[in-house]
Amino acid sequence: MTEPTPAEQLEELVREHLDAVYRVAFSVVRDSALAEDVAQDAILKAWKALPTFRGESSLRSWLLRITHNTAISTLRRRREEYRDPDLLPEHEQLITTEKKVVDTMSMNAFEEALESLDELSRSIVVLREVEGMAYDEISEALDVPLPTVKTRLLRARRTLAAALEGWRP
Amino acid sequence: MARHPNKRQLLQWLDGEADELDEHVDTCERCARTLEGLESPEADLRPALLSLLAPPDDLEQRINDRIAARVQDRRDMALFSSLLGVSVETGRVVFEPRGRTA
Ligand SMILES: [Zn+2]
Repeated sequence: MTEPTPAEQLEELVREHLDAVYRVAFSVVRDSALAEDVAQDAILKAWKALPTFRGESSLRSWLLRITHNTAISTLRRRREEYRDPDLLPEHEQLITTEKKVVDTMSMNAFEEALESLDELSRSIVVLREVEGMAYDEISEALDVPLPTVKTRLLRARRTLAAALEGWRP
Repeated sequence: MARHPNKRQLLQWLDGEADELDEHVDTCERCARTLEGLESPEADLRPALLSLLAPPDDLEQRINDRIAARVQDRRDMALFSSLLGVSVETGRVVFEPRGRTA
């Protein structure tokens, strides 16, 4: 087997991981256009740093760590630029085919509940509930202690589950 | 480690009403275990999260186009090429959008 070329590596990062990267980015920045910028930056950063990736964690948790950090720093930069949260970009049209089946009212409550969490908790809950990562993998990916992962997850789940009451697809 | 909060305080923390406990709860294995015993919501959050965070349908295409456009910039190409230890010419070949013949 031959080693993949850099172009193939880049293609593979996009093909295999873009959706997960986007979800983590979007959960932190809460704006679809900004999430797309973060996704692109994170994938390019990871791709450039691939030669230094030592395989001590999975490629996915390494990439999602880069994504989370990129999202946080992008958000921070935006906030410094605007100073005024009301000037942050409007949420873009998020209606997808999947979303149309969801009752809009309860979805809004769910969205608000997600928004009410701190950024770290949002990433934690997405990595656990959507990406199915183990606690220690999340702890490593986000560089936070294990109890932080467990307790933030419990609190996030409680908040989100309460918002979900009454919504069943 | 400071005194552990009691169950009532931990429940308040879960409800977001005792943020002053953040620092303790974030690092205390014992309180994490206590909380796990107090609270284990059954709800499956995955469908709602997937739906809320769904990437746009054409995201992959757009990201590929954006990356390709970005590395058309010669400086970027030189940078990427040097990072990869290949020549700029190789760099350009690497970034030619798929389907285009040389
Ligand atoms: Zn404790």
